[in-house]
Amino acid sequence: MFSRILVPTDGSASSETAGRAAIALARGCGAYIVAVSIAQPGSPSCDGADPRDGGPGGCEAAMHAAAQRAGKIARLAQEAGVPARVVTAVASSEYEEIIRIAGELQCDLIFMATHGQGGLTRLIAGRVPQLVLAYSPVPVMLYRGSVLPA
Amino acid sequence: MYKRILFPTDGSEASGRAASAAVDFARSVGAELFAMTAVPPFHTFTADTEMLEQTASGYKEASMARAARLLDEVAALARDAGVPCTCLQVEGDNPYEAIIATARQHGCDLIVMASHGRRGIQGLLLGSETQKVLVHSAIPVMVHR
Repeated sequence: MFSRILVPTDGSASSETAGRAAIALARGCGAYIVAVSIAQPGSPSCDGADPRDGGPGGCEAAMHAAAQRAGKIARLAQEAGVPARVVTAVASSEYEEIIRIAGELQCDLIFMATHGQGGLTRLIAGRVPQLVLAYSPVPVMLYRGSVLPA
Repeated sequence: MYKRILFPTDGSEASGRAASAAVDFARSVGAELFAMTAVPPFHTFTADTEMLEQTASGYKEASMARAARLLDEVAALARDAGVPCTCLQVEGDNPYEAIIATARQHGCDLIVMASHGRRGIQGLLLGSETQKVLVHSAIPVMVHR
């Protein structure tokens, strides 16, 4: 059914929970996991890098952090016997980059947490998942996970 | 993995496409399907032309017939794919509440639905039934374009 599942992560506990569920699905379908994490120039996660530097050069620490976040999902996949690769990018708009990568790598499902970092409001889905959902050309699986009681 | 999949439909074009995807997915993971549609109850005071023009019993009959037609289409797809399918008409003014309640009642572990229903794509970012299902559902929701 699905052959390449894109799993975006922001390093939050909820995205790890969603990642584990994505891996279980991938194992069931014989799919491949593409673990994605985006470093944002000018964001606090860029570790004080000057936003005017823009590109990857200004954001090495943030790129490294993104690689670690995505690497964790890929490692969990490999431990479960599911092939995985890591993709990181610097982009100011996470959702656009996630959709771009999904297209470029021909992913057929995006599997993500309903709430990521900073999305703890009970009644509103996270901003990034909402935007991915609104603009993704491929199906999106939104996973609530254990962040909130059932 | 996923054993009981709820597929809510409102008869929109997007729901029709999502139906095939839901059936395919159910078959690939060996799940059974619960196809449902929410039927608004009759109100004496309403702006809904279908309700204004009809009596309570006439309205009920017409909306049940329409719901049965929608569900039959999904049931036919499921039958062709060899996927067990249960059809459910659920009365309720708020489709998202009916969807969440039905999922709980039938012990569903996944909801598969279209990204937008009859209100179209502009309803998608805020306030669509899909968004409401997402924020209220304890189980995962797979959304199809």
